[in-house]
Amino acid sequence: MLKLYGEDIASRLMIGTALYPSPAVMQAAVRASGAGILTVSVRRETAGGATGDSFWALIRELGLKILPNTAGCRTVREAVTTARLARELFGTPWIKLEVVGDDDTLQPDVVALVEAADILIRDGFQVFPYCTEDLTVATRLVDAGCQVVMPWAAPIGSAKGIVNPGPLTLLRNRFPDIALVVDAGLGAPSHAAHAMELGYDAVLLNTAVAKAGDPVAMARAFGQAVEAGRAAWEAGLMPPRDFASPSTPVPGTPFWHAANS
Amino acid sequence: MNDNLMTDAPVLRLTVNGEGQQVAAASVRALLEALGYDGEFIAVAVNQSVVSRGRWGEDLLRDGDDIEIVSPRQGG
Repeated sequence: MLKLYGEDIASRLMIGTALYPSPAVMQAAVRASGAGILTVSVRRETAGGATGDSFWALIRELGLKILPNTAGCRTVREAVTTARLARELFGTPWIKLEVVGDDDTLQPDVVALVEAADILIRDGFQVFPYCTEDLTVATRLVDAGCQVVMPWAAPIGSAKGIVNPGPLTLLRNRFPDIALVVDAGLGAPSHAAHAMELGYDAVLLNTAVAKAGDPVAMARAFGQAVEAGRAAWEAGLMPPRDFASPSTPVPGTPFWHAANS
Repeated sequence: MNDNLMTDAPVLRLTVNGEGQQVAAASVRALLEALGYDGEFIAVAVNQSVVSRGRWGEDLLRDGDDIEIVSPRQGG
């Protein structure tokens, strides 16, 4: 079973709560996905409103583990303060740490990310850092005390799938005891299966489900893909090779002559 | 609005969620009441330091403070 910071999580799918056509569709999609962890955010509340209360009521009905994020933060200080606000709001030491470094790609500022992770871990947080697939960055995050590392497949919301599988495989090989989660850039269930077939422990997605024609059906499809990909990894995939190898036995082929083989 | 909370507090020039406000409130609780925040699930930071709920009654606000009032939202 998936274990994150000592907690058993029944599903290897983590799903976001944003961009759905309606709150009811969001709830139905989350349930259909079978996800075990929900990501949420922290935003300014307006005077006289209780927007946060009504959203939080929807989330609590789902009864899943909550992973708050620091989405939109651009500096170490913003990310650290947002994480502390999230801990106050949600009562969890878990934080999906995001520090944006570039507006067009929403690429993580990995330098600020490592610094913020270090501060938060010393402050008692259990950090889920959203990072690139860079080996050195992942090493710094693990050195800082991260037990989970979450590299992107592709930019957030891009639906491109895994554009750089080699470095993701390298991370898997280098960090056999760290929980690795592909976070961001997945567009199709096959992308999620691909991540799981690389040996990743889980995937985190949002837009691909929320923006699908039928988010509930797509959520179910992603859930099935994650299970299939994980089962394939556990079964042991054969390595690819450059030349053909016949699957039908050659001896006994009609008109076959051993001398020609 | 609670008149008792407003009585003695001097008017402070504060920045609340990025907007300038003039409010007679010395504590976070008084500020929230004065501005009409009635949501239960909110968290507050003053000058980028979180003020936990247990300290909302303390007279810790100062002229020029920068205050963020946040609540749960959808996120990915």
